Amino acid sequence: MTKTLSGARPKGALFTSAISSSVMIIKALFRTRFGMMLPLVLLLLLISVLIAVTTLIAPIAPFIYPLF
Amino acid sequence: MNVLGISAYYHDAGAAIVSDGKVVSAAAEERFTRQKHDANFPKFAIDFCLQTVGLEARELDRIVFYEEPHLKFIRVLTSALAPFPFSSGAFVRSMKSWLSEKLWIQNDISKRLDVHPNKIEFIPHHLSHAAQAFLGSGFSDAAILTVDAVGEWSCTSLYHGSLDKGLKFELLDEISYPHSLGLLYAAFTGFLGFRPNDGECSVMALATFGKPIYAEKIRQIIRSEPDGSYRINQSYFKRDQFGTNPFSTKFFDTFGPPRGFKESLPFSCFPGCWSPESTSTNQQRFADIAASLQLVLEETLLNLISKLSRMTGSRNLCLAGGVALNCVANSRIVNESPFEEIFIPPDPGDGGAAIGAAAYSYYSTRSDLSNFKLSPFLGKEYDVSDNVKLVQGLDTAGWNSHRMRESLPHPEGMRLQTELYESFPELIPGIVDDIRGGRIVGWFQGRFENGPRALGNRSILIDPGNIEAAKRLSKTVKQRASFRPYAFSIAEGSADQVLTRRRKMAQTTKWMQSIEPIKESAAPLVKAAIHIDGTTRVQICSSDDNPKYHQLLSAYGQATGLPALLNTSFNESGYPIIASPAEALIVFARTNMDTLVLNNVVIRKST
Repeated sequence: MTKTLSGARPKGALFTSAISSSVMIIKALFRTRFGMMLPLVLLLLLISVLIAVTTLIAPIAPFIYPLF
Repeated sequence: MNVLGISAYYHDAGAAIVSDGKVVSAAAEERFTRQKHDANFPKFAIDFCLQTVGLEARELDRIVFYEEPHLKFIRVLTSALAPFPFSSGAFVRSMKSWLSEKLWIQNDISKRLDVHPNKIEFIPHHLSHAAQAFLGSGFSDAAILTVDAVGEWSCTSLYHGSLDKGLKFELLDEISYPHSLGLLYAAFTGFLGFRPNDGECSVMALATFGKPIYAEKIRQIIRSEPDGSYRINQSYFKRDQFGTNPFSTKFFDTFGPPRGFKESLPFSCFPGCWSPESTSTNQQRFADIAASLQLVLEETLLNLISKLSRMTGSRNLCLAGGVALNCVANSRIVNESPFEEIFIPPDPGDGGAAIGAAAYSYYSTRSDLSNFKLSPFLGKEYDVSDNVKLVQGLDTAGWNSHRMRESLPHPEGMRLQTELYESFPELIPGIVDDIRGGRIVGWFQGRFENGPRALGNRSILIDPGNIEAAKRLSKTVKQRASFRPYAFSIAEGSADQVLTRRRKMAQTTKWMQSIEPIKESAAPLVKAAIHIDGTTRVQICSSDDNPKYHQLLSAYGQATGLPALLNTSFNESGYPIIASPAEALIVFARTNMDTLVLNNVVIRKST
């Protein structure tokens, strides 16, 4: 049986994994012909961040706030 | 090279490890957590897999997840948004779980196992199923049909697998969400009063008591296409509430009100225990709907298989996905499809897809498959010595307070007789006598089976001709609905004594994946394990597949003339099949099981 002795989780893996997952989501959008939704998603995400910062309330799900 | 396969987060989470091309171990998480169909991250199953190869997770070469979560997320997102704002509740629930956990699986696995994220791969869900089936089959060329609830988008996939120029899977066609046979069957399972993703076997059993008078109505839901594929008519369902209340008014107008979970059903497989006259119109309606659903499912699968045969020209067929657990449909495929050989892996569902994911990753760049062999006996093996010491000093006085509600009270002064045998063959004559005497025997040997079938390593065994023992087993051990038939095992070479097989496909009867008709002359010998239509789910056991169980069957045959035993899974109703000797002892103590065999140790209840 071959043993490989490298491969533990490095520091900063959270950041690289998040980037990698985001890239995979974007690729998945294009693979499923929903790529055209990307600008809309980014715009809505920006608006949601602005709302969250302005109201100091985090969304309970994307674009759904306890206030509304 | 060591590759770990993982399935998780839908139902039946599991793990498997492929080491230098060989499947070393595989297990479902439910066996360790005791939570049936456990969907959580399979930490215990992974730990077990790593122990069998003596590795730390960081030493693995690859970790392969059994589906592409990012692609699946797009399906969940668009499906939840389509009926918005009517789906707002479902949207919030699904987004919470996806955004907090499922979408970041790469990071999750990396963090939980302390491995580099670059080692983590994702492969399409149906390819995981297809890879397990094709690689396990040993065929060099095969048509592959995978049918389940839903993967990323695909609900049904048609592949052509070949080894001509290395391992190659060609996706010929796929039918995407929401056109899902698995989801439809699960929805009807709920409508008929059983738990979806668990009670499908009850629907299949109930179908035998009905007449398919609703078939035409179900054909309006599962619409056959001229090319052999199908579409699901969505007007019968409410997609925005599929998880809670999936049926539209049109569905209820067509099929009537649903059956309550606790509403009783009078049907029984045991002779003389049920008559059509004792059945109300409403109860019969449920059986008729089940029969109609089963018939149309079988027709649809046969159409798909004919299409696949035309497209591939292959003589071999591999089946996988949760729908391949439907042994009645499998039998029709065996008997009526144009294929000469059919292979179904021991665990064709999501648990087994972990094997497919790991195997595909390993073999996708190789063509020599000589190391790959699929067996159901890939689970954990236990040392029973500590448990035996525990039993020897055990006071059974308090057992009645812990017994299962339906079991009979243990008699006053009940004692346990424990016998340790030097070698396995020595214990067999005593067990044969026990079974012939009508005792219920818990049979625990070696590694537990991977998959939903007990195949002689975690089984409960009785005489297949003893109806009274079977009734006692149903009521006081298994708490099993009496309309669900038992299966039986028979030693290879004697199958033709009792079975009338139209086409002898050894593989589907090896792991209890199809039903077979019983010869009328042999029916009295196995009457406790026959359904009312005269068929049984059978395991034809060879000495190569399970030597110890085959030895027991053969010894039973020498004593009785028929090497067959009624074989049902070693568990109580609602729990997964047991894994450890401690769990075996708990079932033994809580129920009216009479004898327990733990490897070379026999424990008997006596007064």
